[in-house]
Formats: sequence, structure tokens, C-alpha cells
Amino acid sequence: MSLLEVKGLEVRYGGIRAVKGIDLTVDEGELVCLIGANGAGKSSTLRAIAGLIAAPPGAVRYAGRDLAGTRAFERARQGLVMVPEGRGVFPQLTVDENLAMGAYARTDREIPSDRERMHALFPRLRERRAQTGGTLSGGEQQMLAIARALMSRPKLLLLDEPSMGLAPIVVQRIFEVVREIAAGGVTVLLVEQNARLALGIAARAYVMESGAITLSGPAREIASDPKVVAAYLGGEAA
Amino acid sequence: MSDGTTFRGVLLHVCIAEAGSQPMQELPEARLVEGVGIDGDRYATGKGHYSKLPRADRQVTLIEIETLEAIRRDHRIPIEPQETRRNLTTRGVPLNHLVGRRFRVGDVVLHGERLNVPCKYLDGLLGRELFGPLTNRSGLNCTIVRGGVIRPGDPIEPL
Repeated sequence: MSLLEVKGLEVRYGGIRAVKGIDLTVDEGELVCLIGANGAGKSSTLRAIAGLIAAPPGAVRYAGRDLAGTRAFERARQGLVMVPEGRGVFPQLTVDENLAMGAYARTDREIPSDRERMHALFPRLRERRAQTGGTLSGGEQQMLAIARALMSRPKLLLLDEPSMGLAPIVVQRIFEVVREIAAGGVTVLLVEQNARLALGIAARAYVMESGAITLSGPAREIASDPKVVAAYLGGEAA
Repeated sequence: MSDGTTFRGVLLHVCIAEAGSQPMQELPEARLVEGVGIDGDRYATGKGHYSKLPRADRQVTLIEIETLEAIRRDHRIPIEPQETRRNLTTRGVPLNHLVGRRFRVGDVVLHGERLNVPCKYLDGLLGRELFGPLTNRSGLNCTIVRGGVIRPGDPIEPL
């Protein structure tokens, strides 16, 4: 069953259609990636799904419900949570305070144990739990942004370019964690320009160019498509 | 798991400015000097807007043509490569994923140091509001690991 179903989604800036009526689905428990070049419309798509773009034409259905008119914070409370491009951690708050903000809408008593789980997932965050977000390295901020999102116990996690600007060794750790999160049962829609890594961990993939989906299918097949190889993986077209 | 950043891109434009706020001029070729910068550019000669706060990662700066095309298309703000204040304009190169990596531009080798961040200084110079549209795609600051001469058309590949 599809947890997320997007149909005919458009994003317009002024009169310009940056996203041109795309369809995509993400099934419960799946890790799906959306790859494409800078400016293809990937982040706009994610922002529209998260409710950060007012009333975009088209339909976004989540857990069987039409999200038209549902605001971003309401979507987050329903388990549809985005980690934005550029992290967006609270720079003046400590690591643990940032984590607490992720659990803001929760009232259960398991928040401390979830925080311990985040510390176990990202030992660097445990080491830096009293340090303010603004003093963390880029990789640590990305870890914190993901951990903060997980503190809300998402059903569907939208990740926007988690590897952006990070050193290779940190990128590897981030992708390992994304795979662990998905293996733990969280559904993930991953937007990435780093096509090889994204295709390496995703079950299915969509390729986006100039605001349209140009290719979709199992990630393994997409990774061997000659056009994808030539455009995104640095190889020659067959 | 390997890092896996693979691509094959091309160098489109090479630009320098003699001093901070002076217009950038496009060059048919340029010499990159290891550990210094681009011959004649303000950050190689200490005349840049930020030269009073010297940092090695201003030796050469890059930006994607795809960013400029998206800003023109989605925000209706025209911006030419020489207006960005970045030295090199690329096509087909995921600059946001090259921090901590070495890559080749023609025979020259660069090392990605940090993501460039947009500044209001550029908005003031051009009289256009580019700060928002450039956020998270403002290019890459690099050091020069191996110098040499580069020209538009040179291939760009990871090492």
C-alpha cells in the first residue's frame, strides 16, 4: 500500500512551473530516492509534499488522506517530517535541546529513551550533547537534523540532500544511518544529487529533469540505465 | 560503502577580477598557481573584498551553470557567469558534493574545501536579490593542489 501518493503535482514560482505535474508513490517501509541535477525541481517537490508551498496544484495523499489544506506542522504531527536542505538546526540551542524540539508535539513518556536511542545512533551527538548547534561541524549538524526529525517518530521521513557539503567519510556514515533508519521501519523519500550513493541504498528511484519525472523504476535498473550513467554517474552512454 | 561521487563535467567559463568590486573579466585561459590562486585575480594578489580576512579556500571559487539557469527560470532573475564573482563556471559537476574531495579541471587538481555561502555584498553590487535563490547552491571554494593552465572546454572529473 502506498503511504505517499503524489498525482499531478505542480510548483509554480510566479508564472513559471518549476515542477510540472509529477506523479510519484512511496510504499510503506520503502526507501525511495529522487535524483537529478541542481535546479531540476527536487527540493521544490519535497517542500510541496511537506506543506511548505501554499496550495500547489495536484494531489498529495498520505496514509490514505488527501493533504490539501493541511498545514506543514499538521503534516509533521501526522508523521510526515522533512529534514531540510542545509540542516536548519537551532544554532543557539544545545544538541539535547534541539532533540527535545523534535519531540515538541509528543506527550508520551518515552522521550528520554528516544533521546538515548539518538545518542546511540550518533555517538558524536552524545559527546556534544551540551554544545550549541551552531558550533557543530557540518556533518554533526546533519546528524542532529536527522536525529531531531526522528525524535518526532516519523512514519515518512523526507530527506533533502543529506550529503550536501560533507566530507566523504561523513557522507558514508550519513548514508549508513539512512539505511539503518529505513531498515528500522521508517519510510524514506530521499532527494539527492549524489546519484550513485542514493541509488546504492534505495529500492526504487525517480529521475527528475527540468521539473518533470523522466525515468522511474527499481534503483538497480535506474543505476544501469545508459542515460543515467552518462548524465549522473560519470560514465559513457552505451 | 564507497563515497561514490562520480561525474563527468566541463569547464564553461573562467573569470577573474583585478580587485574587490571591480567587474569580472572572462579569460580564454588562465594559470592557476598551487597554494596561491589564479594569476591576476584579486585573491591571488591580496586585493579581494575579503582579503583582510585571508583564507586559503579563496584560491579559486566555482559555481554551477545549472544554478544560474534555475535562478533565471524559476525566479526570473538574469545572472551571467561573470556576475557571480566566482572564478569558474561548470556544467555537470555536483559542486555541493565535492567538499573534502580532489578533482581534476583539465590538468589542474583542486581540493574542495567548503561550500560557498551567498552574501548581501553581491546583491548590493548587482542590485538584484540573489541571496535567497543562491542559498544552498552558491558554489564551492577550493585550494589549488596542482597548478597549471585551464581553458573553457576542459573536462572536470573526480580523482
